[in-house]
Amino acid sequence: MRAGTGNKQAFQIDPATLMKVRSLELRAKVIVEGFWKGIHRSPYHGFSVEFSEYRPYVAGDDIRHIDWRLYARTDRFYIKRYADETNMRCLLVVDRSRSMAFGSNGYTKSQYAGTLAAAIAYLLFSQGDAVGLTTFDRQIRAHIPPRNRPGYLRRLLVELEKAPEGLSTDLRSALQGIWQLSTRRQMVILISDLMASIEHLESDLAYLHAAGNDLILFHILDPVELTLQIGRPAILQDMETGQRIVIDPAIAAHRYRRRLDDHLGKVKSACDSLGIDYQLCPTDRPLEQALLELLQHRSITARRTHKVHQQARRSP
Amino acid sequence: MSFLYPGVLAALAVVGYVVILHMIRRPDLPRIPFGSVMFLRPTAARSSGRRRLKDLLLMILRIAALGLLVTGFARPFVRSRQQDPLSQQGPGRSLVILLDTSASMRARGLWDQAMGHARSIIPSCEPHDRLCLMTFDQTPRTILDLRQWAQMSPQQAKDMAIQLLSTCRPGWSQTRPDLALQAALDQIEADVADDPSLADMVNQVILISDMRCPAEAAEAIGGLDWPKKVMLRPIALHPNGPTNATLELADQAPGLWVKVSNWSTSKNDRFRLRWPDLPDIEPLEVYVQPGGKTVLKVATGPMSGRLVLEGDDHDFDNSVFVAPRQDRSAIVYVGNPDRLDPQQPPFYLSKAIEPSGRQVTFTADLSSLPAEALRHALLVIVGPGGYKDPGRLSGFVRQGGVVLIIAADTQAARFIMDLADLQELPCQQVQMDQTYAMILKVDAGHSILSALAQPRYNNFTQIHIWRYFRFDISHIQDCRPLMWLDTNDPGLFELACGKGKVLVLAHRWNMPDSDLALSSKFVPLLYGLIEYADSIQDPPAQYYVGQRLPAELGPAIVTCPDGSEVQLAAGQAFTQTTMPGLYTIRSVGASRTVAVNIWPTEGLDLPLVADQVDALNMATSSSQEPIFKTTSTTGIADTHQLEARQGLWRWLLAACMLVLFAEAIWSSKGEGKERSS
Repeated sequence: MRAGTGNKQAFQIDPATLMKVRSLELRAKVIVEGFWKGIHRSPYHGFSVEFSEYRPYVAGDDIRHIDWRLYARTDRFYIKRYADETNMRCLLVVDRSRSMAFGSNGYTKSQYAGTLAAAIAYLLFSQGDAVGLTTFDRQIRAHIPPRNRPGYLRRLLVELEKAPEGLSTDLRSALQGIWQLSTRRQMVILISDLMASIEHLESDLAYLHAAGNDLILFHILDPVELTLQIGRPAILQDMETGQRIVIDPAIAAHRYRRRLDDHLGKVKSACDSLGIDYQLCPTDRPLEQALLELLQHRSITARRTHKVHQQARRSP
Repeated sequence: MSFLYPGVLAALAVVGYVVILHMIRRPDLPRIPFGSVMFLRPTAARSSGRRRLKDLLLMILRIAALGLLVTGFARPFVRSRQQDPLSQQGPGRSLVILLDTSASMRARGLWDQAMGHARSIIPSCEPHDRLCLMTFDQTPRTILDLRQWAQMSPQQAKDMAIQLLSTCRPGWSQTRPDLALQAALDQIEADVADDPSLADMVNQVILISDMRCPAEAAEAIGGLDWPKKVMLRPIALHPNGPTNATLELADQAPGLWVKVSNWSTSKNDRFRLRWPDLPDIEPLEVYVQPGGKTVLKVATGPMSGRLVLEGDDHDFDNSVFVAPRQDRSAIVYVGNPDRLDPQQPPFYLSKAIEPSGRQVTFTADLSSLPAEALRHALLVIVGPGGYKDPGRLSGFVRQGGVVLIIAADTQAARFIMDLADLQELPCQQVQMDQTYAMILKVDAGHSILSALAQPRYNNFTQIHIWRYFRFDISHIQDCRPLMWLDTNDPGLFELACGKGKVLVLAHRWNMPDSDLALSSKFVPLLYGLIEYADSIQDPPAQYYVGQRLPAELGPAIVTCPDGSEVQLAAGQAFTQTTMPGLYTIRSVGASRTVAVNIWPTEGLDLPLVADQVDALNMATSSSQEPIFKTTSTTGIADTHQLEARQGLWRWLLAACMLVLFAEAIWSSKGEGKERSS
């Protein structure tokens, strides 16, 4: 465990050490609290950086939003903008197919993804945001709509602790299902290994994005999956299909990495073209980094949104 | 090197299979679950030169293990020149061939096998050998002894043995290999006793049998003190056809019951019971599962004749003969026949017997009793007023009848003396004044009183006896007191008389003599008496081949099943029950038929004696060095002995285990290295 201040390496816990904690809630709590301690001098203030903002009244603003108490103190009209900006809806979309059950570090991709999702949910809940969860494999398995109620976090954690059982992954079916289930715009955080066909990934993400959803994609991969370092020839058995392939890593590693890079490139390209934040997360990477990147993304997005709103207001 | 079972060596072809397996097998790769193989294409694992060498060594070790195992199972042995019969001059062998001629050898194919074995052994005898040919069933019989063989030239002796062998036929008797083995040993010992120079000869007993014998024979074989210098070579024969069911009479009354046993190897479980001489009776279907047995009732009434079982492969044990049984169930009371007077014994007798449904005939004296009634009588009770004409009862008693005499006056003593041929029987009436006698003890060992001997029933203090007769039986042989009074006088005693019994009750069972009839002991006592009479009079339901029939009192003629007749003198038993069937015995004024069947042990499912014979064989084969030095190895028996002595298969199996051990270590060593890498 390393502690620091004010940068990305500020406070990081080795995932292998973290995963030894059995309770998912405790893991999430450790990550988030450590994360807050580590970034206490950070310029980032979480998702709700505009939560306390007052802006001067301009003609055309709804006078119901004028803070009259402030007017009494300062003799100026200010508009209080708390309602729209601070209560965010977030839907965590977590892959529960069996390929997520692979892990070479003593824990699986599913455990890593579950911990990441739990940490995000814990962080958002602590800020008063509504968080929901959707799990999928070849179809949507569970859908818990975003809420912020006492005890709702536990419900999400229980669902996240379930073992992956899906025998295949169908991203198209899952993303279309989320699109159909979404009634309001929200932040959608997709956590998956994307070990499936990505032929329609771009178009499916575009649907969600076009519906006003803010998308973040965490691509979870095991270090062995990235490098194919399995030491000696072996029979690899696909955890979803059961297919067995005899592999000599000395021969197959190069070709495997080329094909994987090609796959990763396509995914990133699709995300970039849609303005979706894409994060490749090897499972040996500290989870705090993912949270930090998430905050960076939110900050940039918020500033971008704020700028767009200001430009819109200034325009005649 | 020779092999006992060279055919097993064909299994060496499996070695080729091992080579093929090594050629086509993949290296032993670990199986690793992987998230997805969608980015992978199969690649053949490269094997290193070191691995190839290791594989080759493993293959050689495995082939060696397999080869050693197969060779071991082929039972190899080495025949040196010293052991070659053609290169040595020895004193020769004494061979005793024991040929089973019991009824079970009539099973299909057995006799031909037996003759084939015997005929193959005789020509293989060397000039210095001596051979004895014996057959056996229930008794061993010498067909050609060692001395007779030695008196002839070798070729003459062989021809004679073959000729005598051809006259042998299987009989119907029981198998007693224990007696036969003992007789064979006696032959050898007698031969050596006659000529001590033969003491160095190799002695061998060859037992040719299907090994089905009674348990006592098997036990007797186990207890045989078998000489170490005599080798035993059992040749177990197996019948052609796995299905056999055995039929035997079951001793269950009333009616006719039979037991059907089915061999465990049988392919059939449904059989039919049929009376060939009684076509009007419908055949009876029987279901007996293989290895099982069933007892069933084939007739409710008296039946006689031949009952046949059909549906199996072997006929020798499919017939039982049933003799007609004389109905002897009636009870005759001789004396005052008034059944309504409680002061008379018939009053209580009739009331006690009535519920059983047995017929009771009451008659005042024996002279008025028809002869037919006495022939069907089971028990005759002589009470007060009936002590006349004992001569009429004499024949009944001597043929196995039971007579109970109730002593009511002093004439009873005279009657008993005449009936039992006693010189004297002092008798004195005892009248108990102001008191009574009680029963002190009973002979619980006697079947009449055994039921009353249990603690729950042995309280006789409720029985009071006021008047009885004191018989002095101290001087009488064959007299057994069954009940003693507390006055030390016998209350009930038994006299043996011919085949039958005379029982004397020293007092009446009714008032004023005693209140025995009113006690709870009376009815059990009476029925115990009836059962006792039944057990004495009832002849055995059947005899077995070779058993002697009981002697008749007078001269008799026995008609055998084949129609031949045999004259018997008075008291001479008939012993020539050589075949199953119905034997008719005609004596003066009487004729009866008895059934003789084959022994049920002849149709036994499993041969009982195999283990015991094997034990003898092992005991003799493992320790006798000199035997093999002089043994002619031309026979199969000798190769067996030679192989058993050398025991090379044990070394081969041990070597196989060592090779497998080395293979396991070598294989695991390589695995460990790979795993660590």
